[in-house]
Amino acid sequence: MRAVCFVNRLEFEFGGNVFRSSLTLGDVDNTGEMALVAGNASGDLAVFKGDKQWQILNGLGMITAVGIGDVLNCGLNAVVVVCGDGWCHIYLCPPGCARLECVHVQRIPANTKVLLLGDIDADGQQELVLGLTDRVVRSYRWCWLGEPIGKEFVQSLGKTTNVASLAGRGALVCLNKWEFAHQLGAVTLNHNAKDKPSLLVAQPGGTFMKIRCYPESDVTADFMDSDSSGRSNQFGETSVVYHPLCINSMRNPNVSTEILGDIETGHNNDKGSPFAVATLDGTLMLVHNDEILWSYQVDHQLFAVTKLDITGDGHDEIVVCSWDGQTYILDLEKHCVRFQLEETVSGFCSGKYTLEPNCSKPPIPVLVYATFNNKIYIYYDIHLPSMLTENFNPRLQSFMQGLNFDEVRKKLSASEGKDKILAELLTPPLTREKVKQLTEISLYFRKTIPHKKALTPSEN
Amino acid sequence: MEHLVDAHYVGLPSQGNVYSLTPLLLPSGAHKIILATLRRRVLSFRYNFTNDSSRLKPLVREVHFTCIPNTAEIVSIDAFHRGSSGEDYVIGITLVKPHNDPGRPPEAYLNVYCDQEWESDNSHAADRASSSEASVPHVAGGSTPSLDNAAQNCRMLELGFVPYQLTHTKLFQKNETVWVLGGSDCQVHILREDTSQNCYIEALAEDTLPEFAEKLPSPPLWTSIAFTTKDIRMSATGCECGYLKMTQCTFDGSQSDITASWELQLQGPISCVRFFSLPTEMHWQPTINNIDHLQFNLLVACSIQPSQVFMSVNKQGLSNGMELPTSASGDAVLCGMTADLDLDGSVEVLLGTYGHQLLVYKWDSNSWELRATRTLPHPVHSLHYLDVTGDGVRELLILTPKGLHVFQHHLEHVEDRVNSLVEMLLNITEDNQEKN
Repeated sequence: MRAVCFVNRLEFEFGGNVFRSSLTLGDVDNTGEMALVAGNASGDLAVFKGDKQWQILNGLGMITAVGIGDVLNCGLNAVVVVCGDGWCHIYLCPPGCARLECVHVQRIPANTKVLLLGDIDADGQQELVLGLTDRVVRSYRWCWLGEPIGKEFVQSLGKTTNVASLAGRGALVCLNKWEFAHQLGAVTLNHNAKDKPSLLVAQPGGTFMKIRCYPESDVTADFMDSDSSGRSNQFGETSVVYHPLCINSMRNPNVSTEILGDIETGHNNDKGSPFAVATLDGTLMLVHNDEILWSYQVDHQLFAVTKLDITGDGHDEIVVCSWDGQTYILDLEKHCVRFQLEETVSGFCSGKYTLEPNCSKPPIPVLVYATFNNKIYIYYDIHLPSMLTENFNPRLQSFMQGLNFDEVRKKLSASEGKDKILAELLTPPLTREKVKQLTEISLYFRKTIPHKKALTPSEN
Repeated sequence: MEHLVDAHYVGLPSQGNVYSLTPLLLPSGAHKIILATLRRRVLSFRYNFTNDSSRLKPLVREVHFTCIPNTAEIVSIDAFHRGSSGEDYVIGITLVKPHNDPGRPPEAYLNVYCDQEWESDNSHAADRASSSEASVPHVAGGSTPSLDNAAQNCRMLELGFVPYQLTHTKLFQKNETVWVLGGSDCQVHILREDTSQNCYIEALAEDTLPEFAEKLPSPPLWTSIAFTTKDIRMSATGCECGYLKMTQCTFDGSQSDITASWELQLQGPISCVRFFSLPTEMHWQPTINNIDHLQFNLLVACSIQPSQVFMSVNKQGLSNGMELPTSASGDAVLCGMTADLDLDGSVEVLLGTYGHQLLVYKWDSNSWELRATRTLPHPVHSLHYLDVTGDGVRELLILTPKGLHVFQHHLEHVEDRVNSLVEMLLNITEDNQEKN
């Protein structure tokens, strides 16, 4: 398997235990620049921008999950910080402000493990989905008291007084509660063929639940399973479908599972997005419409699945990380590149990061590791031109096809030594040996010809 | 430097040193890399490719060399090819084995591995033509059993000194390859095969390579030998105390005479010396006749003072030294190499430092200029520029204590260069014909 060694990284000191979900990348201050937000078990929340720590907040309790998104549905990104003891903090930094300000604190059920911000019911509004260690998933939506407050108002508030005055103007309202039979892994959103979202909740042993949160009338054939349990409430109907994924050997109920949906395939097909499922025993699967496209087995404990376009070709690569720092990058064709961080990892995420703030450079792909040694590493020089390594032969061959051999040979006088050899090499059929020699001659033609075999620098 | 792509990384089970990488030329024209580590494990790395596919699969395997005692440590490794083609490798590994009594110097050995079946096949080729043909291993991109066979076939030579760099050179008069080994006794030793006794013995330098007969002031760290013409051999040795010696020899038949020798005292250990040539202009320079005009330069990597390139050493000796700017401002320089990283037909000088840096210098009409640097995660032990992908384009190999980095030229860049060079060549031939 191909392996690479990324070198250039930013290193931040950040003490304490970082939970798996309390590390995320996003546009914190609504300037279009991507920052890293990390929270630890002792209640510190740090925001990193560029090569500096931008802000640190203390005393928030045991931070178990952090999310960045428009949770207030006012067109501005907010930071949602959820603590294990049941406090949910929302911080906001409208454009023009220099600091995150707390706009809301609310008591919610304790033991949050995973957090998802997204539109789960296709109503255009962002919902907050929290997964708890007691096998419960809850969804929340922000409701303003009175008139909804828009982006302009929040921005003007940020310029004149303080966004903290938004406190008490709204609250998170619980929409749904789903209870599961087993401990849950990750929670993710996946869009189907009609661009309708469904919530995927990972269950042990590489299985998952699919939850639909919009009325039945829009249901596609996908959801017509007889065992689906529909239920309606005032926010609309939901259904939960269990998907076992047909690998019998994988039904080990002790193996925790991670899931990640909405993987960008690049081509706009009408079949919906595929999603990735990874288990702690080292299986990674790409699943599309309940069909396992491929599965990949490694002997490392995979605990995090992320997606990132590392090659820059418009489709996502799947990046999975294990507790011992082994990172696998796979494209949708299952080509794999490995990278080993030589430290144990407590949290991992990947995404785009702005390396130099205030200079309008686009954010670049990064891998972020929180280690058990009180360090956070951001690997930023990770672009790979392609997932596969190829040699030059096919390119030269296609290049040669553009040449008219007869004409070229005519130009070379067959009497002279060097031209004679060149003419010989240009005579079809082009074997691999000839192609190699041609490349060698055209690149390093100093010593190649007389010795017939190339002198290697080691012989000098 | 920006046109290089991180193609592969081979992690090492334990660290090696500046002498622990050696390439082997495969019959396909690609190289296989042998990596020795301190803790006696030897890895081989190569790319597996098939004729119908250009996809490269990296293959890393452990090679189990016999006769390496448990407590021993590998110091240096080197390998060469016997015969013109095929996979008849001879691999030399030097070891030290610490003595139980800490007061006494360690035992040291040179282990030479080669496939003796191959030997007998070749020596009895006349009467066993058919059977030897059948026993020739397949030479495509597939497996190379010959290395494993060789690894099981060891001839041991006890050394009376601690070994340093192991290298080899051809004695053209006898068409024989001998080992050249630096020793802690301040000498460069010549070790050759005694076919009648089926063992290796130390040869007298006077009879083989007279330039190594003299005792040096301190242990030689690096020796480099180059043939500037058909009958002139240049050799250079850098020592631990900073003493640099360069010798020019002519050889004719079995006679080898020193024609000139230069010496220089530099500051601090000389970690590497290498001969190389810069083409004076972009044209074909292949024929034996004009090799006389070729200017040979000597790269001297120094660990304390700035590294230097002595220009045109075959004409001017060590008189024309050019410093490589800022090469002393980092950490100690551990290795040096020449490589054409920008594919313009003229080589750059590369230096690898203990401070995790790779420095790239380019000749700019009358001085060496620092063109690029690259940071690696660990100290740079060894640099090589070889074709490992089997396509004629060479790759940059960088050995650090933790692993081997393989950097490949960006293929679009290569295509661009090939395109412009082919066009240029065709225009030149056209011009020539018009003149005719």
